[in-house]
Amino acid sequence: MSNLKNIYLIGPSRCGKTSAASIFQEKFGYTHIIMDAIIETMSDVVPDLGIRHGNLDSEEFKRFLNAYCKNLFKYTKHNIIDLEVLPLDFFKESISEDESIVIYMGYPNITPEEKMEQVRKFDTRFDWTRNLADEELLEILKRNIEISKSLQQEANNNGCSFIDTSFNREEIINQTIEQIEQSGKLYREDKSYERYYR
Amino acid sequence: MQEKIFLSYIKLEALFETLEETFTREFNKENKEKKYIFLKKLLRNLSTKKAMNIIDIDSLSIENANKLIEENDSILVIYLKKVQDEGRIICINFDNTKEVEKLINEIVKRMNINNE
Repeated sequence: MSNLKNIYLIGPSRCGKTSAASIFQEKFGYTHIIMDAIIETMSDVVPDLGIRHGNLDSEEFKRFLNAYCKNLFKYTKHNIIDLEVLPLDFFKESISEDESIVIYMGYPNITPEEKMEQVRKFDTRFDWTRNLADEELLEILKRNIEISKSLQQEANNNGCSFIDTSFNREEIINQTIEQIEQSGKLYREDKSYERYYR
Repeated sequence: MQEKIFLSYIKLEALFETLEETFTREFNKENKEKKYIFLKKLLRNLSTKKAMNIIDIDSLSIENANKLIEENDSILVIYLKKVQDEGRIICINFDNTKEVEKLINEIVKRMNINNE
């Protein structure tokens, strides 16, 4: 367990990132970092820094994410960073393949109406979609489906796994995680920890 | 069927170091007030997530810790050392199994109340 890589888990809202993170946590002991709350807090407390939802492909966020991950990885090993998008070029410029992997998720193969049905069926009091009117939710889901398609393409371009949670979400997440583990992609060479000796 | 509990973890110092190094001196070691404001907002934002959130903090005054608990009953503040005038802070010695068990029972009790 000590030689696990960090995971960047990338996907739009309601695609199952928390469920996937929970499985990684249970099976492998990963530490889940809820970036959502951090971004919201940055936006509330230091709005001048320009770090907020809707602006995650900015240079400011890229700078922040880069620095934060470097600091974070000094303290905790095998982290899951969950985000809706990765800033442009972050994958190429900042992610070291020997210490991290990127896993993309989304629901590119479902209609907005079908997804809305799923969302309504499984909404809990913690889900921000719960209080949205159907029309508003439908618009958001249409955008997220397009985002999912882009992320799927990005995953292919970067040679990363993509978990399609359009249907049978729990089963697909479990299966894909097992495949990723069996492929050996979760594990790193021990020497990659050397740079983090404090 | 028991509802699944998600866990999240934030090392606050990593965040403050990042802010200080990269953007603004406002989050340096001396500015406890700014850090406290940040922590309060973070707790509020985390409370909307379906997770039990663990925030690892290097330094939090007893006064601020008790203020946080006063404003939000669902927060547990745990010091890993004994302090005087702890108020509603929980102080435990991690080497003492009985104290750790008592803490876990308290956490489970809170989780069950929140899930009702």
